[in-house]
Amino acid sequence: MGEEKDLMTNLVSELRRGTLILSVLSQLGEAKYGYALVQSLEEKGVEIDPNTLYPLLRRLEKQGLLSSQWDVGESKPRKYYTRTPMGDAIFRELKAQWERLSANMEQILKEGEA
Amino acid sequence: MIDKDRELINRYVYEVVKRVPKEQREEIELELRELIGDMSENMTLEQIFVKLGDPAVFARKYREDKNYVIGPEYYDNFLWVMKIVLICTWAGILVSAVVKCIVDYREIVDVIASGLSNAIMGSLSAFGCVTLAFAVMERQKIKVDLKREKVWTPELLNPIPDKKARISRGDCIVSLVFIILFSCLLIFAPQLFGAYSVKGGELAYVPFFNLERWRFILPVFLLGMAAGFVDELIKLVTGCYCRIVMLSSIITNTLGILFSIIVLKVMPFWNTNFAKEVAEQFDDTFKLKVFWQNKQVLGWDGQRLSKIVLTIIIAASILEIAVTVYKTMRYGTDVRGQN
Repeated sequence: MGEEKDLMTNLVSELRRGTLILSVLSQLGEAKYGYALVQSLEEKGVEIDPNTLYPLLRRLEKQGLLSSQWDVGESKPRKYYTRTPMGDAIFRELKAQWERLSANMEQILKEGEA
Repeated sequence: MIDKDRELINRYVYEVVKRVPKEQREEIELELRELIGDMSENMTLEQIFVKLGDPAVFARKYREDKNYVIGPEYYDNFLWVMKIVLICTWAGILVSAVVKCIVDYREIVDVIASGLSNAIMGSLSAFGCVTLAFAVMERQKIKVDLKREKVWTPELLNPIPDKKARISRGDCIVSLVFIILFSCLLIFAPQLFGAYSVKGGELAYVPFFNLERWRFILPVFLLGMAAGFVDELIKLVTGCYCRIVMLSSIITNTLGILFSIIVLKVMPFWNTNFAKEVAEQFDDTFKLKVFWQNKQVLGWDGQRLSKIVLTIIIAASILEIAVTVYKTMRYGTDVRGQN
């Protein structure tokens, strides 16, 4: 039984991994700091561990999809991330891909049920 | 925030930061403190640490490290190179051990022991060096495509070898083992090839070969064996009759014939005193005496024996070449896809 559960956990996390970048990009049309992003995604039912998100944000920044800025005005310094123009373009393309994928998947799964 | 909590946060941050590249440490530390600060608004410190998990894992995600030594892109080439390097290492060690055996044949136990330890150490270092080289290439993203120069296309599909063109791996391994055993016998106990009799409760023998000159004869013998060994290895690796196997068979068998001629015709191969020694040794063994006399052993003639043995060897070699050429032409396909 334990093995089956492990397998399920692996499969689910693999399935979700591909959607992570798209979820993150979708939320960063306006600047947000890391933990606010965690919370806003969680509210929408998308759980993401901070120890996955923070390194991911850095990587996307390195790839040029996001830009960051430290805001030191408030009581504690926070790093705000936002999409770059290149990030915008890639987000649109990924979104279109996702919509096609999701429509196809829906079709396939409907046929699978019948 | 109490001092104890501050200390725990410092510890956690330190555990992560010490594992990331120096130039990123400062910023990652700030990010972590921001994150822990934000989380602590509605979580206890313990809950935060449980949620963030092992600092080593966290740091690894920051490093974007590869969690493997050799990745899938390099794995095929890695295995291929590893096989070749290991085979070369073993062949080298085998050859050097054989040479040492000939030179230091009095200390054969030592030579075998050091050969074995060389084989183990050599395999380990070969494995280590190949792995290290590939691990570096993996990390430096050095592209090597040793096996395929071109992009794969459907035309590169090799025809499946005809059933009759397949070479049995078992046969090859049996041949390899036989070659090694025979070589060992020739090196360590050439006197075993001879005529035996029990005389006065002790085993007496008369060798067929000229053991006095054995040190000159043996190397030629072993060269022939080595050629046969390589030939069998090639068969084992390719697994079917193809151009490489055909070429190797032609070369090996031709060499075999050449070496046989050198050994049997040029070198003093046979024990010229065989007849005399047999007559002395087996004097009191009636049956043997009759047997040997009937066979005209007293007219022991090295020249004639050489001719007979040579004829058999040449016939067998030519037969093998013929069979290989026939099978390659008839059923064989070249590994590169052309016939």
